[in-house]
Amino acid sequence: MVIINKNTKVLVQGITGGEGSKATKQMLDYGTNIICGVTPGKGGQNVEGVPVYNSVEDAKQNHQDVNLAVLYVPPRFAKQAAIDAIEQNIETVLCITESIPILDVIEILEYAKLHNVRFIGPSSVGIINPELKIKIGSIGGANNSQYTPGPVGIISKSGGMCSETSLLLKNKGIGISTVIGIGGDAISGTDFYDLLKEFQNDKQTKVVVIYGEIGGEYEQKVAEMVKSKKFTKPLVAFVSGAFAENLPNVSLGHAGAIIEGESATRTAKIKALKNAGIKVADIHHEIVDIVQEILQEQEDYN
Amino acid sequence: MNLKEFEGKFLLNKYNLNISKGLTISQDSIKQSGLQIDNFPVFIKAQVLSGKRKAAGGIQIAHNLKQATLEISTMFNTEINNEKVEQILIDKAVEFDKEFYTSIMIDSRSRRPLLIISNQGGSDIEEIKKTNPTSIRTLEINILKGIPTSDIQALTHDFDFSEKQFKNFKTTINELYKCFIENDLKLLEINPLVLNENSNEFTALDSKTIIDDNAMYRQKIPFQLRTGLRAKTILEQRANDIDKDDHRGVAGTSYIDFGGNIAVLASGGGASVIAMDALISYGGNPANYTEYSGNPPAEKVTKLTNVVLDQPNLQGLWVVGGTANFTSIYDTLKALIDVVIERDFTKPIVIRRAGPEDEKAFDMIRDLADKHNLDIELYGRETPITLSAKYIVDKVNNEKHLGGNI
Repeated sequence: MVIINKNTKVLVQGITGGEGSKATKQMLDYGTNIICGVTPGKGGQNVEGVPVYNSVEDAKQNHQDVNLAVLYVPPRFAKQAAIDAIEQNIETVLCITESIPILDVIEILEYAKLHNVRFIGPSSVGIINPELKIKIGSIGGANNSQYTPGPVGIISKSGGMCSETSLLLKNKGIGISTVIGIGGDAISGTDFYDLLKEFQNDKQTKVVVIYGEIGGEYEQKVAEMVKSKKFTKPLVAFVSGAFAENLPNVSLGHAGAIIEGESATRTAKIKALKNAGIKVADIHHEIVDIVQEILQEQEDYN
Repeated sequence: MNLKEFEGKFLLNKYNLNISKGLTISQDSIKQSGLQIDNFPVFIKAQVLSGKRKAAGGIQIAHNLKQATLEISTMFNTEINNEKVEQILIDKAVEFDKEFYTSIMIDSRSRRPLLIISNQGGSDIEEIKKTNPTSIRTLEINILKGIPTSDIQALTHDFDFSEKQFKNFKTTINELYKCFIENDLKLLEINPLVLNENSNEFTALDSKTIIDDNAMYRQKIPFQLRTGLRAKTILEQRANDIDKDDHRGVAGTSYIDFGGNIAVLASGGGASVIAMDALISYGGNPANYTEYSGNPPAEKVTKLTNVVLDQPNLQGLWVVGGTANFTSIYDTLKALIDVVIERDFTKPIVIRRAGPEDEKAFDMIRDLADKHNLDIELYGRETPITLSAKYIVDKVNNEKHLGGNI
C-alpha cells in the first residue's frame, strides 16, 4: 500500500471553509476515516459530524492517533498551518493549497525534515486507493467512477490529469492501485523518486505511470533510479509542455543553466527517460496503449 | 516575473552593497529633459530581459557626449534578440581587477536556495562550466539557518582573498541573500561582481532578478508588470486581475495573448497544456492561452469569458478541460454561455468538458443553442481532449472556406 491504508486517520485543516467542508463530505462519503478538523476561531463546531478545533495542538490532544493532515488553507496562511501540523509530528502532511510562495514551501520542508514528517505537495490534488475505498484531498470529487481497482499506479504532477489518465485506462477496462498528485510546483515535498520506492514494494501495483511536466529535475531522478535498478517494475512516462517550452518566460537565466543545464526541458527529460529504458508516450492517450501491451506481456509470461 | 537590470538594482539599492547605479533613460525622458552625462567613459546598456545582450550589441562604450547620443539613438531603434529597447541604463565605467560570478536560485533537487559563486565571472559563465568547472562552487542554504561564515570560507579558500577582501565578500554575499529572501526572489544573479584590489571593495555591475509571482501579494513592486519579455497587454492585465482579493478557484492568472483566431478557455493546468500542444499540432492558431480551475465562482468565469471574447479577429471558441473533480461544469458553463449569448458571439464553438453536473450542463447548452442559433459542438468524457482540438480547427477552417465561396 502506498501512503494510505486502513489505519489512516485524517485531520482536515481549513475544514470549515468552502472547499474544505465540501472535500470533507466527499472523503467521508467515499470511506475515508476523518477524525477531526481545525479552523482557528471555529473550535467547538462540527462539519459533517467531524469535531472542529482551534489549533492542531488541541486536535492532537483529543485525537492522539491522527496520522495524516490535509491542508485546505488559503495560500497566505498555508505556511503556518503546515508548520503547526509538522510540529505536532503528524506523520504525513498533504497540501492541497496552490500558489504558495516558494520560499514558504522551502521553509515548510526544512521543518518537515527536522520532524521527520512526509510532506506531499503543495498543489497536490490528493491520493486515492479504490480497492481500500480511501481517498485524501480533492481527487475524484463527488464522482469517483474513473477510479476502479487494478494493477496500475499513477504519479502525476498535474492534478486534473490524474482523473483524465485514470479515465483513459478505465475506458479500456484497466484499473488502478493508487493514484497520487504530487503538484507541479518547482519544489515538491515528495517527488516521483520517493513514491516509486513505495510502489516498488506495493504488491498490487504491476506497472506505474508517471505524468511529468517541464521544469525542475524530478523526472531526471526517475531516469537515474531506473538505471541504478532501485525501481524495477515496468514504467510508462509522459511529459507535457511542447507548447509551454516555447513561452518566453520559463528561462532561469545563467544560474538555471549551470545547475539544470538543458535538463529541465521536455526534450531533455524525454531523452533521459528513454535512455534509461523507460517507455515514453509522445501523445497522452498513448499511455493506455503502452500499459495494455505491458500487462499483456506479463499475462503471457505468467 | 523577470526584472530588468535597473529594476533589480533598485531592489539591491536598499542593502549594504556597492552597485553601479547609473542613470536610466527612456525616449520620453530625453525629449523632456535632454541628455546630460558628466563623466566619461560610460557604458550604454540596453534594458532588455533576454540573455546574451552583450553579444547582440546591447552594451556599448561611449567616450564623449556625441558618441553617447549616437549609440543611444541607435539602440532605441534596434531590437536586442527580438526585444524592443524601452529603457537604457547609462553606467559609469568602474575600475576593477577581478570579476566574480554570484547567484542565488531555488534548487529543485535539494529543495533549498542554492548559492553559486565562481572567480571566473564575466559574460560567459556557461562556457566556464565547460572550460573551468572546478571554479564553480555551490552551497545549499538551510533557510532556517542562513549562510554560515565557515561555509563561505570553505567555498573561497583558494580565491586568494586578503582578510579585508574576505570580510567585504562575506558582507556582499550575506546582503545578497537578505535581498533574495526579503523580496521573494527565485533568482538573483550578479555577474560580474567586480573587485578593486586598491579599495578592496566589491561592486555589482549587472543584475538578473526573478520575483516569485506567488508572492506578489506581499511585495510592493513599483515596476510595470510583464508577461515573459514584454509588457502585459491590457487583456492580460484584466485577466490577471480577476483573481485579486478572491482566492476561490483560479481564473485568468495565467493568460497570454498570442494574436491568433481561436479563443481558448481551458480548465486545469495540466489539461490546458496538453490541449494547447494538440491545438498547435493540428494547425490551429490560438488567440490566447488561459485557464480556470478549482471551482471558481460564476462571476470569475463571466469576467474571463469577456476578456477572451474581447480579442479581435476571432473565428472560433474552444472550451476544453479534463475531467473535473470539483468544478461544477453546469455553473461554469452556464456563466460562460450567458456571456456568449449576451455578446451575440455566433462563430463556431467546440466544448469538451466532463465532471460534476456535466449532463445537466449539456442539456442546458443544447436548449440555449437552439433558442439563440449558436453553432456549438459538445463533447464529453468519451472524447479525448486532444481530439477536440482537431474538431475546433476543422470547424474554423470550414467557416473560412464558406466565407470565401460567398
